[in-house]
Amino acid sequence: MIVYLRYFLISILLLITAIAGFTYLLNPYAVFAAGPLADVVSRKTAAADKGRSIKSYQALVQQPEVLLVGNSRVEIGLPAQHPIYQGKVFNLGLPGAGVLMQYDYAWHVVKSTGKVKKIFLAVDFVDFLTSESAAKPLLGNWQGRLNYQLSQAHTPVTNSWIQGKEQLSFLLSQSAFIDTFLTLIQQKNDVNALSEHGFNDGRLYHHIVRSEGFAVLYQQKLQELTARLANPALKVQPQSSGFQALELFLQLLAEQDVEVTLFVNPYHYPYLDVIAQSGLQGEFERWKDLISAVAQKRQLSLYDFSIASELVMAPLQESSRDIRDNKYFWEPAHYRQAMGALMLDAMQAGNCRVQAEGRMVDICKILATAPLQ
Amino acid sequence: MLFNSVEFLFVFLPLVLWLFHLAQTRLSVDAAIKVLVVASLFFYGWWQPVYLLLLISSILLNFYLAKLIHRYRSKALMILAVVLNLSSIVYYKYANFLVGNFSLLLQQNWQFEQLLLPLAISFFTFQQIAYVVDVYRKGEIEHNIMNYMLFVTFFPQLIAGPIVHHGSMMPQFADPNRLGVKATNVAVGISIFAIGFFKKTVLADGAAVYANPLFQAVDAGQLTPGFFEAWGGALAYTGQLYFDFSGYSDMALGLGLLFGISLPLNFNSPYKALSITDFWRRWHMTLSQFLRDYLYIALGGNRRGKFRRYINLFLTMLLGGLWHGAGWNFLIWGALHGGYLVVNHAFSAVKTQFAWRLPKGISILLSWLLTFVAVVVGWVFFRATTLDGALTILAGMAGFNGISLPAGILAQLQFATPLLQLFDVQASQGGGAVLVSTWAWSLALLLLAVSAPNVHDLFYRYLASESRAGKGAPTSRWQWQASKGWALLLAFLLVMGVSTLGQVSEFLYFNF
Repeated sequence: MIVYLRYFLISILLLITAIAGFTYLLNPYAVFAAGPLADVVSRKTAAADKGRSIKSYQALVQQPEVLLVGNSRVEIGLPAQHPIYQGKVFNLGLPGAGVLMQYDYAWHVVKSTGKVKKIFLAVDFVDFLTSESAAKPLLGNWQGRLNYQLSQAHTPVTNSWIQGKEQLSFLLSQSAFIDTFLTLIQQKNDVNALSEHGFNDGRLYHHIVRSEGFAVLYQQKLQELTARLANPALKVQPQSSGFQALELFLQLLAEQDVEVTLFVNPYHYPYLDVIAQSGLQGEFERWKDLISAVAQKRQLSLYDFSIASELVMAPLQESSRDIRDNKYFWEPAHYRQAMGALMLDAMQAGNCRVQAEGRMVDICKILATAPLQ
Repeated sequence: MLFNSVEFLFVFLPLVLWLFHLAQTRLSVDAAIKVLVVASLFFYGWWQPVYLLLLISSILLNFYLAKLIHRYRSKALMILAVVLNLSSIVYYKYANFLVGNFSLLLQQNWQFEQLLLPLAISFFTFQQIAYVVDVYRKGEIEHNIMNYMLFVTFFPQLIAGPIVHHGSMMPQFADPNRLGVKATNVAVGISIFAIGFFKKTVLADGAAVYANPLFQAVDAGQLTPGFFEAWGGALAYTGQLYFDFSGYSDMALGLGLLFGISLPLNFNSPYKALSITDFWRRWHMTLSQFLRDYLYIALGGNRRGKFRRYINLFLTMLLGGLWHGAGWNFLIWGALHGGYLVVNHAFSAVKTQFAWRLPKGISILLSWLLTFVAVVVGWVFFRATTLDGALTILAGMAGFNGISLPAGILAQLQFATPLLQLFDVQASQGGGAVLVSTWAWSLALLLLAVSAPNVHDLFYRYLASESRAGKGAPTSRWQWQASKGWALLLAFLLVMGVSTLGQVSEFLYFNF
């Protein structure tokens, strides 16, 4: 029995080493520096739904100079390559994250790496709609994994236990082990995948559109949005924690000499219709005024892509199962990278008139302009 | 402290094992028992130190009352001990339920302070009731208070059983050759622990991901599940509960063996049962034995005719349901199983009288299916926190909420359109990944539960009589051996279990 126990112990050690080595090499969450197999498993399919858990670590590995900040619209809608970036870019779009979480993560990256020079910051109307009567403290359960957070902007927070545990889980946990296999076998599948730079390729949309058509995506998103906006207490409040977080974040970035460009994400027209039908058109306009005021106060550029532009109002090929038929939107809330590229063109040129569909098209309205440097 | 926690696995257990071994080899068995008692109290106090007072008071009260009962052969003292034990459990576990319902019945607004339920109170109370009753009935007594404390608090079984009987535990403590860290016991114990750990952390917790959201949403009135959703959730919970509880029992058995203590069999592949009676011989066996010996027989058992037997059976299961928790759903679950057992016994009697026979294969399949469905229906009441929730899920399982499939799945099933139309299958939103995963997990667990050997089949040759009780020799050709292959396989299960301790947190936001 002693021999058996010896085999048992050796097996445990060998298995742990093998599993950790396997996970490290294939790096399913791109939280380790790229190894020899980086090209074999460049699509991090298992990471696509874990952005919140991994991007704070991923970004530190990448040491970016340009950060894209926002929610899933940014993660999935902005292209990985564009001349405007002029440096190593990281997409910090966090699906489902509110503004405090977005800014906490971004501040953590800015302060921890000290390399970020430019941020493209996307803002969304619904993220600033609130029913809160007073601003909430800038606290969240994600802060344990961050070295810095807005509420204690310059004081590093020691969370080595939480971060160590989380990083160990990327290497040696059941989910990491399974995700490593999934990453290996799903490289060519139509499932979402993150790149090591944080961009989501949105391939799940390809699959859904091909099998069910665009209609189902639109129906689902519009139902969710209608339900979300049904609360009559929702309104835009300049004193809300969302605005406080934005103001504080911009102030801190200014102190760090980080250049910021603000933009309002575009929505396909059914999304705008729901806002109007929910009686929130007035609040939408008021929110834009408030955001403009913030941008002007900080002397930042602000591009509004949520206007009823030709591309936003382009009719929906609802029954189509061909992904080419809705070139600029996957569904009402999420624009495609073709749209994202045009947005970056506009911001690069400082001009909303861009080349699209073989002609010049106005895709935004500039609500505030940064002074020329 | 949980078995599947870092502090238990990597600090508490190795330290206690080392101290126990040191005490047993360098000092005495008594010293080793003291180490185990102190460790067990620490284990219990880790959760809520204040309830250590309750546990220790309960132990001292029962120990000394038992001495008095033994000395004076006093039935009144025995009844007093039982009443005091029941009072404690009623106060902590049932007071809110009782006050709430009486208040509702009498249209009063009575309030009772919400108490935190002391961990394992049902287990340690019932073990001690059995003890004081047997001291009176059989004159059995334990004079060594440390042995008695270990019988009640032994940490592998303290939190979730198996419910141990003094008759099988005390002789082990008294045998100087029994306790100790021995290579064979450690090899078998750690192997059984690995299986239990895998069952709990990988299989049960894996199924929980699919069962919990459905039950929570239905209980909160946010979801009316269709046929496939309802069955998927119910089956996922059926798998979760079995692998969770039996995994915990296996871990307890394995841990006990590390110290040389054999714990009783608690699960014997219950989902292989071919009748409800069979099911209760296989599910939570130590509770069934307790209910039989100290409740069913005390109520008269089958000594007063068939009708009284059925009434006693029903009452026993009703109270067995209430033992699991203070709530109407537990009561309904108990009543349901009481009813099942009565029908089962009555049907068996009628079947024997009229000599009904079906071909063996069909008979086995029908018996299994009927038993399994009855059990799953019971689990819906057991898991749901509201009566409305349970009834909504059952309505879904019966098809009353309609039959729907996610649009993503329906799109793949166009070849079966006539069949889908025949059953009026509607499209619901979503890609169907969750539904597919739910069913895949549930069916995989079910297949394992009905086809795989259990730890008693695998380790039968190496288990002491206390652990073999209630089970004959195994027929499975799968038998554990101290071989390289088994070491590798079980090490893999253990590593997989350990790897669940620090999961990467998931964010299920598939559709943005």
